[in-house]
Amino acid sequence: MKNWFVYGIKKGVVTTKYPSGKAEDVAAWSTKPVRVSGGQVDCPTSAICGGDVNMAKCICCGRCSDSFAPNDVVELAEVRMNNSSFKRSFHIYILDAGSCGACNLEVQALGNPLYDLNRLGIFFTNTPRHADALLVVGVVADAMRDVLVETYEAIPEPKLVFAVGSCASSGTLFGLSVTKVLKTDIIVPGCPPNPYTILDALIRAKGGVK
Amino acid sequence: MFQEGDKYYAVKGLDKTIIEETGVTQLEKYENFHALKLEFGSELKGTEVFCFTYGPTAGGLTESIGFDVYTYGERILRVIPKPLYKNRNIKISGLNVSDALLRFERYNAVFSSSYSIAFLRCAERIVGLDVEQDVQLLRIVMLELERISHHLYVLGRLSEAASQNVATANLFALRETVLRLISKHFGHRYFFGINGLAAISRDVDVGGLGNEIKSLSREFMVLWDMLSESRIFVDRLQTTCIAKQPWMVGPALRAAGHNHDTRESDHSLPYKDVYFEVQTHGDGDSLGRAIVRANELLESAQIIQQITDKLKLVKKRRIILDASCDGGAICRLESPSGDLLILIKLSGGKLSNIYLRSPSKANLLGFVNGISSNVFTDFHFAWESFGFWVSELGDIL
Repeated sequence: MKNWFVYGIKKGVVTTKYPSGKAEDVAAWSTKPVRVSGGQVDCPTSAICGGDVNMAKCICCGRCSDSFAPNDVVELAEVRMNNSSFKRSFHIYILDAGSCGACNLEVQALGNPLYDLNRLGIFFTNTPRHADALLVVGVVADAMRDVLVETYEAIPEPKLVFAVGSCASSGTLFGLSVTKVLKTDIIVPGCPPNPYTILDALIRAKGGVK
Repeated sequence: MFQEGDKYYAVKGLDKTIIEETGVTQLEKYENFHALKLEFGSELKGTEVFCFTYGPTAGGLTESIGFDVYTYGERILRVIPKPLYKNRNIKISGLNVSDALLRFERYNAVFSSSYSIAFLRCAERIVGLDVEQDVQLLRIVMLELERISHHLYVLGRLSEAASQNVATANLFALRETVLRLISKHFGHRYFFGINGLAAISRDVDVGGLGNEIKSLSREFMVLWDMLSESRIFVDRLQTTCIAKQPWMVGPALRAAGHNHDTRESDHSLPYKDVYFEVQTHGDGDSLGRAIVRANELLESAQIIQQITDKLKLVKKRRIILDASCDGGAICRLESPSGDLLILIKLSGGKLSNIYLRSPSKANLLGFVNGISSNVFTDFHFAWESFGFWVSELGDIL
């Protein structure tokens, strides 16, 4: 078989039905841990307060696994502001302010055929001038602070800012969160967030499916 | 080379097993001395030569990094990378092993299991802990899954740069399948929270993984055969960024014809118990590096099958480090982009000294040398073929 077309046809449709269908094959430890038994937990980022877990601080290290178990729910994002004028066409500019690489790859994964974000009217763009939203991954490294602000200013109004991953949301173990530098509209927690969690946040930020 | 206190050591030999104490004056004679300190020369001057900056943030780059590109037109005369924009200055000194492990896992998440296992092997050597065979074999499974996932990503990026859109979509879909297999068996797509000192932190059942990987590798073989027959793909990679320096590591070194793989030369993990062949190529170009990765991916699939034929359920266990332990150890391990080296010292159970040489740091000068005299449109093929990760160029203090 040497024909890409035939190869593609034989392969069939592999794209998820999410959000109308269920999220498949979700990594358990990218979702919120909930308490299942008593006992003291030594959380390295102080994400656990009483019986609840602050997901913006959680680094999915699993140290709480004797008392907590993940709940497999992917809709974790906190959407503080949305804009339905982006409902049909939503262009995203990704900025790595100081990440370990995992959040970058989980955002990029949305372009693969299993998620195919283009079907939902969401696109990555290569320049902030064409973007409707800035999606920041990682903590804000010292040398990236000015770059971050300049990139934000280059995006035309109206615009939204996403903090993707626990580092961008709270700084975790590594430094300054983007929320301390820019007014952030959408917090997408997780270390790294599951692609479904990021997809859900993007859909809600643009006011739903077109 | 590495520094320990005020002493300097040179790591020599093709298999990089000779470690000699030396001085700064002697080290400066080595071609890659300044590159290992991330210094890549000065600006270039000449008739009609000008410089433009690419990065630190740009759509074509996965991570933030800057490049000063010197040219008089289409041809690249010199590239000076500026890799420290996203330097997080990760502080590990003074931490205990389990807290340091969280940072090593997240130093470069794409090689998370490589870094965490290399670090743990150092700590285990210092404490004198024996690691049980099933945990050691499971570590090999993790490393090989990481290699498969990473090689698929690199090949996907190369295919994307050559506008082979169907191949790109299928390669990235395969990579997603690998990540889902990892999450199904290990609970996390990047192995966070799995590894511990001579132990694993949750039950891992790898039953069925061998067959799942076998079917994935068959699908990859069909894809790779078709992609290798695409003249567009081959032409864009062939003779692009030729790098043959013997101080490089990993697929970049092996693509230059050097038959060295840390999995064979280092015995931190029982790779001698499985059969695999070291993959080499002679041309040292971007195509050679892609071919080595494709062949290594198939070898990794075979290693996983051999192990999972015998290994099924590995039960969780925890070992708490004795707070009073002291000593130093070094570990080298073959990450997906090549040999990484970690040296640590523990004092009273806390890290007092760390040196880390990542594969990206070892290979960056190879890219800088190789890209000169190529043209702008070769840039992405060259960069992606090395499998660089900017996060692992940052400092660990």
